[in-house]
Order: sequence, then C-alpha cells, then structure tokens
Amino acid sequence: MPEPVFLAQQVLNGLSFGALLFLLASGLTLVFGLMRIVNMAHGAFYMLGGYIGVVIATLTGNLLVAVIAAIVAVGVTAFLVEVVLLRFVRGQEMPEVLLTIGVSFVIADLCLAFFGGDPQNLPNSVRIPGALAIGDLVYPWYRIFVIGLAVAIGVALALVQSRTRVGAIVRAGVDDREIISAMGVNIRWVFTGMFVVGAALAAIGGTIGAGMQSILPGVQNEVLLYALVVIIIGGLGSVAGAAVGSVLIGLIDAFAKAWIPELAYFTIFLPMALVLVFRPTGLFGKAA
Amino acid sequence: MTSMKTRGRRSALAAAGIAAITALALTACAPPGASEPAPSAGSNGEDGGALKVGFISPTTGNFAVAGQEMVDGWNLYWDINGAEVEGITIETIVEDDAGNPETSLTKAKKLVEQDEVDFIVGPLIANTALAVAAYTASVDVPNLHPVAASDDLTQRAANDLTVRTGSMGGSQANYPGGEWAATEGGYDTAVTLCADYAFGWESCAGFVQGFTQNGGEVLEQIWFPNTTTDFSTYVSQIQAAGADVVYVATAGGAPGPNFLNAYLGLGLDMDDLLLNCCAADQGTLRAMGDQIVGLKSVSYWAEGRDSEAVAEFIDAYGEFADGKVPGAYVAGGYMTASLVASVLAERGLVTGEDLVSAITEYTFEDSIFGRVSWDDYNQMVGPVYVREVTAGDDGNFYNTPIATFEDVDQWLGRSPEDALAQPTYSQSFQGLE
Repeated sequence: MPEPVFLAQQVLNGLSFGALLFLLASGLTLVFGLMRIVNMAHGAFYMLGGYIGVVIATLTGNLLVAVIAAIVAVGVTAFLVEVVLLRFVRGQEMPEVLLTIGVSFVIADLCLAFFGGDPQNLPNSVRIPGALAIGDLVYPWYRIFVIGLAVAIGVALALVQSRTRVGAIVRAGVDDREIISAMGVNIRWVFTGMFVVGAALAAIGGTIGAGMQSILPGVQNEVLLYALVVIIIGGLGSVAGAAVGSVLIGLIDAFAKAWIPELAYFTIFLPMALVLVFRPTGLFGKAA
Repeated sequence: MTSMKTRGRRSALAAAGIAAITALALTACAPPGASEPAPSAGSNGEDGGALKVGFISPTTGNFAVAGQEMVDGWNLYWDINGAEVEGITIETIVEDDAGNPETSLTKAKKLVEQDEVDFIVGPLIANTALAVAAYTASVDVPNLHPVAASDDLTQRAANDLTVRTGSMGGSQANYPGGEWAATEGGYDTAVTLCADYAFGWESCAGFVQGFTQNGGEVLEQIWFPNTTTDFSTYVSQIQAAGADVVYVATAGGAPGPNFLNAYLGLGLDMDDLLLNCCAADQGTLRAMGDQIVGLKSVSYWAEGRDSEAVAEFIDAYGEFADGKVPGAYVAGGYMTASLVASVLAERGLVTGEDLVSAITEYTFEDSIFGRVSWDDYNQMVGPVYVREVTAGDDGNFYNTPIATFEDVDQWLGRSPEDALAQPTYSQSFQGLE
C-alpha cells in the first residue's frame, strides 16, 4: 500500500477522533468558563447520553430522534443536578467538585443497574453506510459525518457567543461575574442554562460517539480525562481553544500510536505539560 | 451569589450533602446479593459434613461485570444442582476485591482467619490472583482459579495448593490458533494486534509460536495500550502491513467491539481475522449482532458446541439471565463448581492438599469445556476450539467450533524445564528463537 494513503487515513483518523473530543470538551469548557466549575460529572453525562441514544436508536431506527431523546434526558438530569444540588455549594470550589464527582458515581451506577455491563454501540442501521473511496483511500462516511457535525456545532457555538445577546451575557459572565449580576442579569439562571447546554453537548457526543466507540461502565472516566486534557491545552473557557486542543490531541494520538506506540499515552500528556510550562493559561486562555 | 456570612452554614450543609451522596454512591456500587452466601439446599438429614468456600471476585469497580459473571457461574451450578453433594453441604461466602491486589489479600486473610473457609475460589485479575495464591499456599489453604489467565500462576509461581480450574493460560489457549491459521486456515503471513500488558503478550506469544512453528511468517506485531478506545489508527496500520491474516487479542469488555467497529468500518475483510477468546466473548457478540456472523476466534470455551453439558448450562443460564448466553467468565465459575461437585461425589469430603490432588488426579470426561485433566503443575489440559460466530434459532449468537485441538497443554511443545528456563513473555520476547 502506498504511503500517502496511510498518511491520509491517519489524518482522517485523528480528525474524527478529535471531532468526538470537541463534542465532549466544548461543553466542559463552556461550563468552566462561566461557572468556574470543573464538572466531573461531564463524563457521566456523555455516558448517559450514549446509553439513551443507543436504546432509542435501536427502537426507532432514527439517529436524529435518538440524539434529541439523549439531549432531553441528559438536559433534564443536568437541570436537576444544578438546581437541586449545585446551587447549595455555589462558589465553594472543593464542595462543587466533590459534588459533581458524587453525581458521576450515582449516574454511572444507575446506568450499570439499568443498562447492564455489556458494551453498547449504535445499531448498524442508523449509521451512515458505506465508505468514501478516492483511489486507494477508503474511509467510512460515518466518521466523516462526525467531523462535519463537530465543525457545524463549533461554528454555531462561536456565532452564538459572538453575535447574540445570550452570547454577550455569557462572555461578560466569564470576564466578570459581579458586574454582570450588578447589571440586572439573573446570573443564577444563566449558570443553570449554561450547565444544561454543556450537558446537552455531552449527550450529543455520547450518542454520536457510540457509533465510533462503545459505551460501557468506566467510559465516563476515560472520556473525562481526554476532555480535561483538551481544555487545559486549549485554555479553560475557550470554545476556539477546545477546537484547537481537540484537533491537536486527535492528530497527535493517531500518529503517535502509529510511529511511537510505546509512548502512546505519554504523548497525550506531553503537549499538556508543555502548554502548562510555556503558557499556563492554555493556548487560548486569558491571563488570570 | 454566595454571601460570606452564610458560608459557614452552607459548608456544613454541603459537607453533609457530600457525605450522603458518597454513602449513596458506595451503597449503589455493591450489586445486590454480592456478599450473601449462596442459598444452601435444604439439608435432608444425612450429614456428610460441610465445606465452607471463600469466593473472591471484583464485583465493584472496573471489572465488576466480569467479576459478577464469574460469581454467577459458580452460584448457578449450586442453584440448579442443590448446594449439597453426597450429604456434604457447600456454603459460599463472596467477598469483593474491586480488582485491587491489596484488597484481595485482605479479603483472603479475612476468609481464612475469621471465616475459617476450607478453600478459596478466585480472584479474577492476574495480579490479584498471584497475590492470593502466594498467601493461601503459605497458610495451607487450597486456591482454585476459575478465570485468571496469567501463565505464571501454574508455571513459575506454581504451588501444590493452587489449581487453575476454569480457564487456560494466555499462551496455551492461543497456540492452537496459530497452528490452525498456518495449516487449515491456509494463511502464509500474519500481523498481530495485542493488548500491551502480560495477558496480551502471552496470548500473542501463543499465536506467534503456533503460527511460525507451522511455517507461517509474522510480518508485524502491533501493541495497543489497554486504555485504547479508538482503534482506527491500528486498523490503518494493519491494512498497511498487508498480511494474509490478522490476529487480535484483547481483554474482555469494550476493546472487542471497539476494534471490530473500526475494522469493519474501514471495509476490511472479516474472513481474514482471528480473535482471541475475549475479543469475541458474548458481550461482543451481543454488541455487534448480525454483522459478525462468521467471525472466527480461538478459545477453550465454545458455547455453540454440541454437548449435553453445554446445553444444560446454557438453558440454566438463559433462565437466570433473561435469555442471555454465558460467556467465558460465567463458564469459568460454573466449570469450577461442577468440578468441585464431581470430585466430592467421587471422593467424599476432602480438604487441603487432598482436595487439590483429588482435582488434579481427576479426568473430567464431559465438562462444559470437553474432556479435561490436569498436569503436574495443576494446570488444565484440554481442548481448544477454533470457533465461528453463528446465529442461533433463539435470536442469540454462538461461538461454534469449526476445529478442535484436543489435550492442549501449557508448554507449547516444549518440556516444562525448557519452557520455565525461558524469560517471561513480553513485547521483545515472544518465545521465538
């Protein structure tokens, strides 16, 4: 097989994995940006979204219905978590983080009790069939679709942030929470809304991701780790940073596995360490 | 916004909340019935004594599913046959080690010192198994292993009180796969993709030796870290290697379906693929469904084998588990229980070293694995199957044997002395000269 085909495939592998990472990391980084909460339940939201998406996709045979069901279910869960639990510890970092870890445990165990321990995947019928073929290069359409979806969501998020009043409030909230609340915006409900949006993004990631990798007990911790690395590299709170971080980690991961497999895990953390040393706020982070 | 004045009270509230959530999370972690003894069948008066069994398995944490399956298999046997053999009642105490060697050891000590069990079954994970086996040997308590695959358990770390009762070592179970690929399979060259830790090294070493000793050539060996979820990169490498056959060894759980998703997604041919036991275990079959009918793998467990013992086991498990078909972990637990029952039926109440020798001198003619016996190192010698996924009439999928290698031992064609003089298997040592 000629080398260029292998290279092109690896680039696509890296980009499609990066696209999945972006769906995950964008929600986490938005929530952190506004609320200053590292939401440790983000992985569990991904997991819950994945399970629900798989079940609904199997029942209806429709991917869009599955994604919407996952968004609704996870959104409601996130709403309850924010209003019933998180509000009581607002502003206290340790309790906030511990609380979200607790939520993650509870969701993961409920999922195990409910969905069992088998790995779950999107049924074949809802995945886009076939593969793109250009000469010797063959690449599955489903993975190309994931790349496209991540780009679309990324652009939408950027537009909402830069062009709309909601976006302006969120941006202002990131910079100065006291001023924005002094200006009469009910920052509490902005927090709640943002928390729900972040969770909804995780739910989309879970359902779409279940077509690329299995949902099963333990996946919540794996994806959370990747998402954290991505947002630390990109800069906490920055959607553009999450995009760059995702693509970077996706590509590095793909090529490192091929060329220096012994270091496959290390190569994920090396860029993070380098970024932290030379630019502690991340590539797109604002100076503290 | 939080006012500074109320912060103290809120902290207390939060602390209480966290404590409650944590408690809830921990309770929720324990599966129902995890620490209850198996129900003992009503004693009918004739008292042949009692055997107290300590069963260690990870029923919480990352290995909870496999751990629970191993316990289910053990309990299932006593459920259908009654927990009494020739008047000897079997009482089981299940302890959870969460897959942690320290916890495993603590639980083993508790079972031996406090509960005074007659023998210990389990645990599951290789390093926990090695830790427990060393301890139980030091206090003269037998230790039966239904699933743990580490070669060394019955090689370098073998002792008179440790028996592997329901599984084979990694290299042993995969050696015939290599032999089959090079001979009946008709493949000349191979590329391997195995998990980058002891189990993967051993499995790959088994396949590679079987393949090369029968004239095959291994073009490339690729290793993936256990944490891999996206296998597309490895599949591209496999494609680039351009070998006739691809051999893949993973642990149970997600890697099997994750690999297959990437492999089939890229349009590669399933006919050129041979998996190990666990990559094609029931979890994978349920996750992948129709599209992998015809997929080939190699293992000592073949749920689609035409045998009375297997049929009885599958019916019983189906009733217990909502129509699911048992995978290798359930089979290991069930096999161990049926072996203990057979030995007790033949020899009466035996304990300690007598129990171990009773097992290792026994030939189990019609076990769910086929005809098995034990070697001088207390390791199972028995059939290994090359299997193909078939769709059953009941809507389930089965690994059905297409080739059988009888009496496979753990030495891969060497004498025990020669095999033990080798280094342990690793990326750089696959048993080839």
